[in-house]
Amino acid sequence: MNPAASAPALRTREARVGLALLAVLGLASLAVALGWLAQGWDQAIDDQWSGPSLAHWFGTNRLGQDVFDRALVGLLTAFSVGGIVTVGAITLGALLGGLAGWHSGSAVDEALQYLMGVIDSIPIYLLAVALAFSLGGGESAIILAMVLSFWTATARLVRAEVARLREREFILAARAIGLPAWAILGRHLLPNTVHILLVQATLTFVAAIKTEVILSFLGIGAQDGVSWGLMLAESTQDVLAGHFGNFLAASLLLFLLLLGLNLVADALQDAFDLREPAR
Amino acid sequence: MTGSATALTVRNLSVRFRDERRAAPVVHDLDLALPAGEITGLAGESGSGKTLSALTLLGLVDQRVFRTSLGEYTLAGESMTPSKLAANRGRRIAMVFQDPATALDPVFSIGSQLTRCLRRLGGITRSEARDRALGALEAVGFDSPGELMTRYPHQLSGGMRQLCVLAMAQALRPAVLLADEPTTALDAVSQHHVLEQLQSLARHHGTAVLLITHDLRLLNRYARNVYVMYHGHIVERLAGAGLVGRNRHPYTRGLVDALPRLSTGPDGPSRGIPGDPPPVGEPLQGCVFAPRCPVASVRCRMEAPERTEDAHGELACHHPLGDDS
Amino acid sequence: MRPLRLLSSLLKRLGYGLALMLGVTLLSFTLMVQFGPDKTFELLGKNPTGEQIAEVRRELGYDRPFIVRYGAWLGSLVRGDLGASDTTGEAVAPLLARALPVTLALVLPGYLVGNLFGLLLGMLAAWHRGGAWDRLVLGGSVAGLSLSFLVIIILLQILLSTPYGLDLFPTRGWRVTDLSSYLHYVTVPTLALIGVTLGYNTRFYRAIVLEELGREHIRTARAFGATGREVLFVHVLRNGLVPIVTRLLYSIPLVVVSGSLLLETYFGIPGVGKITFDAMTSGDQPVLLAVVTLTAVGFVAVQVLADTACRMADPRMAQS
Repeated sequence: MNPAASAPALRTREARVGLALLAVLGLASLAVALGWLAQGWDQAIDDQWSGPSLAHWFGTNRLGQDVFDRALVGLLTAFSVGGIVTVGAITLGALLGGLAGWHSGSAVDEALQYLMGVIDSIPIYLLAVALAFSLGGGESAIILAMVLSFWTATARLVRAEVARLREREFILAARAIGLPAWAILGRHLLPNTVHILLVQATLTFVAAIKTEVILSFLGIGAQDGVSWGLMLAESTQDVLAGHFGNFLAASLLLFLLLLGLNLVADALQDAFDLREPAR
Repeated sequence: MTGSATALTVRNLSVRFRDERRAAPVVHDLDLALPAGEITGLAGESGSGKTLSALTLLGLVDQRVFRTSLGEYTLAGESMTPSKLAANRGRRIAMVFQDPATALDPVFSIGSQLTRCLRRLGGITRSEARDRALGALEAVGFDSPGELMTRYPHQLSGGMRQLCVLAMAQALRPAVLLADEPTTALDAVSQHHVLEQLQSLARHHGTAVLLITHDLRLLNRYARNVYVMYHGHIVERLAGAGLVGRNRHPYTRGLVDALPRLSTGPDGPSRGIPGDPPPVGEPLQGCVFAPRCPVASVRCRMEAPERTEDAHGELACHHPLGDDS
Repeated sequence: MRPLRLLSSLLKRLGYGLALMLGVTLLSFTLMVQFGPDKTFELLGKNPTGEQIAEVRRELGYDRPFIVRYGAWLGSLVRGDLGASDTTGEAVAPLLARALPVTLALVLPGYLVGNLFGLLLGMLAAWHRGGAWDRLVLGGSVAGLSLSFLVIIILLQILLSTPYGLDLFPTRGWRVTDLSSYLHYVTVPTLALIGVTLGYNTRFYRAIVLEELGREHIRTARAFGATGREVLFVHVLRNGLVPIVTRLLYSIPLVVVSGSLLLETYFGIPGVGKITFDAMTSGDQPVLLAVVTLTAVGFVAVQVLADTACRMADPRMAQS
């Protein structure tokens, strides 16, 4: 269960394809963030609806903007939304799950489990709607909604693992010699739950990107920025008129990113023998 | 092989790992004959290839891990191919496993599992199947089979569960029943009962029983023939009554010596066999037992002994031991 | 003794379920009413006087303490009164009651077929574990997991509902009068729902079947002649019933709400999802509150149901 154990698992062909996809897409979004790529995405640089060409791989849209450039900016949005949600949800899940597990059986544990039960009873879309409603919409509302909704899965797994670990001899011994809780946490519990966090991070990333796309499409998320959800929303009109650029560019990048994440998630799950338990 | 016909004969059956790194056969050119109406023993330490041999005879080896070759395999007079074998499972050949705790499906009643077994044979109505199931439970010694039919496995003791599995065999009356350590997980009383049932199955229905065990004393009492297996090889076959006392292979002798003695022997604590069995699938030159054999010579390490047959059975050893010293 | 135990465990579960519902309603009420937009000035003319403002705030209940307002709302909820829509003034309960059958008619076929296909593919993959079928199914499911619901819908539309594809089905709408019109409108959404769930379903069922196939009683059954079909459809299915039923039940609220939200918005179908979307865009607080609450109530009810069903499915649990 050592994180280093993941190294051989990431050497399978599937995992390599996944890592390569993530590397290419990650570098592309970095280039966008640093201003090296797709800077003119909001300029009308050509006639509207120009077909695919060497200059514009996926043609231009209704406003004459380069579709692929917009999709690349959408990639940056996906990475940043996915990244923020993942870091937030995993951190929250690890902290609260660890707390519940360390105090398993106590009132703190009961209360946290009850809270998870409440949150799991509200579908993510409705929670996002409720939060967007109270916060007045925008990207931050859906990020908050996703963090609040996604942390419970990680917390449940971490809770179970910590509750199991704290009864093990080396932890009991550490407690017996009076090592403070934070030291035990840092030295023994965290390293022993890293594999869960790693797998959960990839799965949360996938869920966050998928959810962001649909929420943006529904008009709950990004309204002025660039999101694949917005491009796909535009494309629903486009495709009826025979313009497939928006659809192809957004769905292709979306597919490749999710595929890369899923392949890595699979390899990690195989490495740690952490298939999602049957509910 | 005296008297009755043989229900099962196999020649040159072998099993290998698909993994090329473990090249040696796990079961090496197995020759086996199971006479109808008798219990035949298969003895050896764990890892010697006993269970895998039985699973191969049944056609239930995991083909992703192992590559099996059935050799010349005849079951009830019919030559077997893998597909024919599948059609004969539950009809002419069946198997009882070691752990009765997990052998039965936990969510079905005993009655429904027994009757489903029978219904697979085809041409039998629900009520006929039920009658035969009741009869089979009675035959293995249950007093109130009707009530037992409605019970679930978790409500029964280990011995009772094993008897229910035997009742399945009793109801199906296969020509061959393979029994893999059927008593190891049981208490002494249940052990005795299960063995008596195996014997009665052989005597009264002419079933050929292969009793796989590491306990040579059981075989001494119940079996007419005992095959001794080491590292995938049959090293000795002992024929006739009182067979275990007449062993000549150093490995068989080691197995006998390893048994805890009730009647105290002259030499105090049991000796057993020095060292550990080689890893399964490891190629060995010469006699496979040579590395652990107390009487091995240079020849043993170079040259594998041929198996020879005589009145006492068969033996593959360069330096057979004399009768029990 | 046995029914009594079942009853007491059911009551315990129900008690926890009620506590969960209380938590969900409190959370959603807090979010949407306490922190929700202030509606005072929407109801007032220009340049209202202080008295007018106070009057409206009293009507809206803003002057009362939070806990009193929550209690009052909860009270009316228990009586089945979900309030009236802010935009149309229509009572919310009949509005949702009218929409629910449409939603069920929309999502049920995809839900059922998606699970059935997932089960069959999972069995196929598990039976041939590590073989060509398994790799094909697993590869397909990873690809499926990597497709967004939205992408699947648009792709199916292009292929089935536009002149660029087969052009067999309508691009949107729901004018269902008989079976043929139902099939006309339900096919594309159903395929989309199957497409988005199949990857998850297949993996779930594959894992269940693999776990059950590894049990020793399967080996005994095969040693006594059970065929592959019997092993899969009798022993594996019956033993895997608990996780399967649990998943089936647990996914109902999610499919009904999350699935219908996108499908109905996209295809313009007047079900619960469309009502939710409309309420979202117009800021219709009572409708949204009702949908969130009822979903949670449904979810909790399903949990109690799943628990009971599982107890009855397993003789060890039922009789111990």
